[in-house]
Amino acid sequence: MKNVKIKDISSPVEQLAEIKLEELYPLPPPYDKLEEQPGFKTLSREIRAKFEASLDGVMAVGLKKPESEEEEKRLIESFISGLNKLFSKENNWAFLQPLTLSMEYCARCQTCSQDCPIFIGSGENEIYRPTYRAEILRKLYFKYVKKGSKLYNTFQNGGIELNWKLIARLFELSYRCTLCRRCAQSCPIGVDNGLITHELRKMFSMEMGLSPKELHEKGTVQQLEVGSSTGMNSLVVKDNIEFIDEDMSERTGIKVETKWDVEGADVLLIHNSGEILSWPENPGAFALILDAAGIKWTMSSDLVGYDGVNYGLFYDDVQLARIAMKHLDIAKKLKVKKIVMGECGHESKAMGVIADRIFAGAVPRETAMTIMNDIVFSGKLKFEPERNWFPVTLHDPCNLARSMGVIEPQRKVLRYLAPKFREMEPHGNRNYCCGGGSGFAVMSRYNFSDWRIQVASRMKFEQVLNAFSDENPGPETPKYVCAPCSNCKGAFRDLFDFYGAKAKSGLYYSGLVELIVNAMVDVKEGFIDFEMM
Amino acid sequence: MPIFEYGTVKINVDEDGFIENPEDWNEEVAKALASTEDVLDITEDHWKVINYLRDYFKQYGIAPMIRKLCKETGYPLKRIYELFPSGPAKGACKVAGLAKPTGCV
Amino acid sequence: MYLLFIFTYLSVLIFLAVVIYKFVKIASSPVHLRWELYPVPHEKGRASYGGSILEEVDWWTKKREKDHLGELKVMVPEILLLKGVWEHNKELWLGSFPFHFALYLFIGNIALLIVGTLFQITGISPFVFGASSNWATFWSIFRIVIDAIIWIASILGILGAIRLLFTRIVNRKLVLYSTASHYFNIILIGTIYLTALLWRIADSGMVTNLMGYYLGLITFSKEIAINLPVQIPKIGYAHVIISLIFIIYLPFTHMTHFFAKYFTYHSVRWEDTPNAPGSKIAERVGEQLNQKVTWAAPHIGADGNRNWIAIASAAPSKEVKK
Repeated sequence: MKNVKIKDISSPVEQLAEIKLEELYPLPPPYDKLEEQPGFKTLSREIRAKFEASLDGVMAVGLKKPESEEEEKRLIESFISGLNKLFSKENNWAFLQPLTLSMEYCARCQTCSQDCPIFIGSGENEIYRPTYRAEILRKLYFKYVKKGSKLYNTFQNGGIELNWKLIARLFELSYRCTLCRRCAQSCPIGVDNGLITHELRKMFSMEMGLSPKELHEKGTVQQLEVGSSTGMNSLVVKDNIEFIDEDMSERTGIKVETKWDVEGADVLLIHNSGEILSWPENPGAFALILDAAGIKWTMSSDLVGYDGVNYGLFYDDVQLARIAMKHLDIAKKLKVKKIVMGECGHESKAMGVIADRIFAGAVPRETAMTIMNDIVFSGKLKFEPERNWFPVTLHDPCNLARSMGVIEPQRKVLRYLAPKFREMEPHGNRNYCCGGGSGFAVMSRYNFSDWRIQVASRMKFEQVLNAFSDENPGPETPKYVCAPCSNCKGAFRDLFDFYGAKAKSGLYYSGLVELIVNAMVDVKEGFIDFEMM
Repeated sequence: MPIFEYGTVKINVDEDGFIENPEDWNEEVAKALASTEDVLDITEDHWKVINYLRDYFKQYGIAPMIRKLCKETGYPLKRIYELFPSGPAKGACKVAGLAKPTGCV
Repeated sequence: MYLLFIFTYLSVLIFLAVVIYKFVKIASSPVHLRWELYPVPHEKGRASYGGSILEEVDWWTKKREKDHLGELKVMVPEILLLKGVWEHNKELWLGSFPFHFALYLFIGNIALLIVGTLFQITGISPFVFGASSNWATFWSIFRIVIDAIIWIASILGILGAIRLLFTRIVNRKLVLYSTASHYFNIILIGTIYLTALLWRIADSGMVTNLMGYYLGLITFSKEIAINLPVQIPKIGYAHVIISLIFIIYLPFTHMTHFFAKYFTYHSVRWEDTPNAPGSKIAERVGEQLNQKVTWAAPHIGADGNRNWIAIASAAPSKEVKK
């Protein structure tokens, strides 16, 4: 469909919008040749017959088509009921005020559009405009929640036709935004389209039980049952950490030993447990640094205590609260002085800011950035910054930068320990999302990762390449993207793999603590080994 | 639920081609799944990785850490990618009949 | 004339009643979870790069200093000059700024006229300004200022309205998202500016007549009620009546963003108060957690009786999805 309009969301057409490789925002060389780009996998006829791919031919979730008219009717009723609960103070006190403000006061000025990396990256595909999905919810809100005079309402807000197509597309559309909130910064009135996406996802999950499997069944549900969204139970996690400790001691020449369940410790360290499985140098480096700084720290082997992940933040307030309560209870039980949240943006935001009003000051929390900055400049550790001889740039995780204002600590460390550190543009709290935000980094069913990598991560890829434009563009010079966030690292891994950017441009990614350890005088040289990354 | 057919093999898989019931796995299935992963011939090296993955999975119910896999099999990550072009998680685990890894991994 | 005076009071009353109702409604919303968005300008020494106190190790032991001047430094250019629109959407700013600024000038003029009228009624003027000759000079300057503002504001406003209308008509992205009311609102406000200009062109005594109108409005003087109608041209009546209709209409539209913006900034974007045991926030959140949950998805496990605390303390319900 060409020139998509708001009302087209309920159109009977088979597919609302199409993504074409040639229309996407152009990438710099050597990634500018369309014929060399992998493109998008198309969904099979069987899948399209069974599931809803009517938005853009991409499926993040795989919503089943209703099998009968009754089922369709029931789903529409459930949607309207959810809509009303979303605006009730009993069910949504947690976000009612910001949501209502964002619904009622938008001037439809489109100032926010140019700040959305997905919209720009897609070559300005109308359905990805931050106001597109917001405006649909707004029209539904005025029609089904506020009600009032139909004539006046149409005059003020325009009409909309609610049908199953709309619901199916709106559901997928709520997974085409990474909740990065860059658009909200530019809204003159203070409307937050990221919040609107968040609330839409919540309504689908909490009322209709619709959510991506990776976030719900395999995410929060598994975490609450087994202990971690990775499926690690406490036995496995201890075994893995033991392996990491040994490996770390071997590679650095410094004995590393993680402590478990130490009551009254100064610091309870909670990692995103994906680090343990996929990027073990990260928890290893944490252990080494905290020990070297003489801090009395511990990890928890309690259910959920060793996984700071809280996907509830992305789609479901009840799941968010359940996991946050577990974290709080464990910290209280261990009587620790504070929780330090590992290198994970959404963990930091969920525990540090969003759940602040649930924690009620019972256990203070801080991010890894602040404590690492403090340790690096404490004089307790000796450094040889030249060991980080390669060019380094910093990716700001949206949750840390935009939602928490944690910007300088990690930079101070890099300015000191990475002599060839350079900023990417824009950075700080005007950064672009890695494209993996809001759970996208762990979502890859059907053809979603093709979309995520080529559309959502597009602007990030461009700015990373530009940040190193003064260097030898080839793979001979390794280029380090410091991404202090597991989700972001997952997104960078998939992005670089997809384009073969390691072989073509020498692009590598890793965290902040790895650079700290690599620069420590007492550590065996060559801790960061590009051969192994 | 999609059904994957290859020669005489017929199994249920998820939408990414991962086996739905790990108990359905056998060597024939491995060969069939390998065909979807650009693995033309399953060599001794492949079996070493697959067997390690399966043993670990039987014991702990999840896939092992990638570092652990490298260390225990003696293959550097690069070699694993040579054996299974889509990597240890998406490639090797699939052929070995493990469930798709979850969480931020 | 009395009818017009009564209509004026009525419009202002309706305006105030609806605005206050909406204001109270927003202000009494439940305490929400933190959802601030950086930069937050009251972060002392950090606002320039968007940092926060969370950058400090053990931040809870440090004194939180709120820089209220920092907030003003953001708010004043934002409100007066529409700085955000300037930075992110210059095309729109070309229309939006003159359009809004003209409105501010008109509001300023109303304030000046009311103050001037009160001076006149209370007879406070000679006392304040000493010799009466100074007083006469003051009045003439006062009139000149008001007169100048009428010229500037109405012309600026007309240009802004035309430009804004033009943008909303030719720019596809705005067309897609505009409803009938957007065009109507611009035309309505544009008409206020236009009738003001026409009135001024037709009537060199517009300022005197306006002051008469306000004096009549406050004193209900019979003399004014008889003389004024003769002096005000028809276009002047059109201006006053359209303005009053706008005042009544405004609170029922999204244009109430003029005060809602206070909440989007102060209650959401910049609301970063940490919760502390025994605080007002803790108390209100505690009450809210006692509310019953009725979300229907199976994993929630709501039965209509369990409150947020019970639901959040329970494991996800394993009832099979239908």
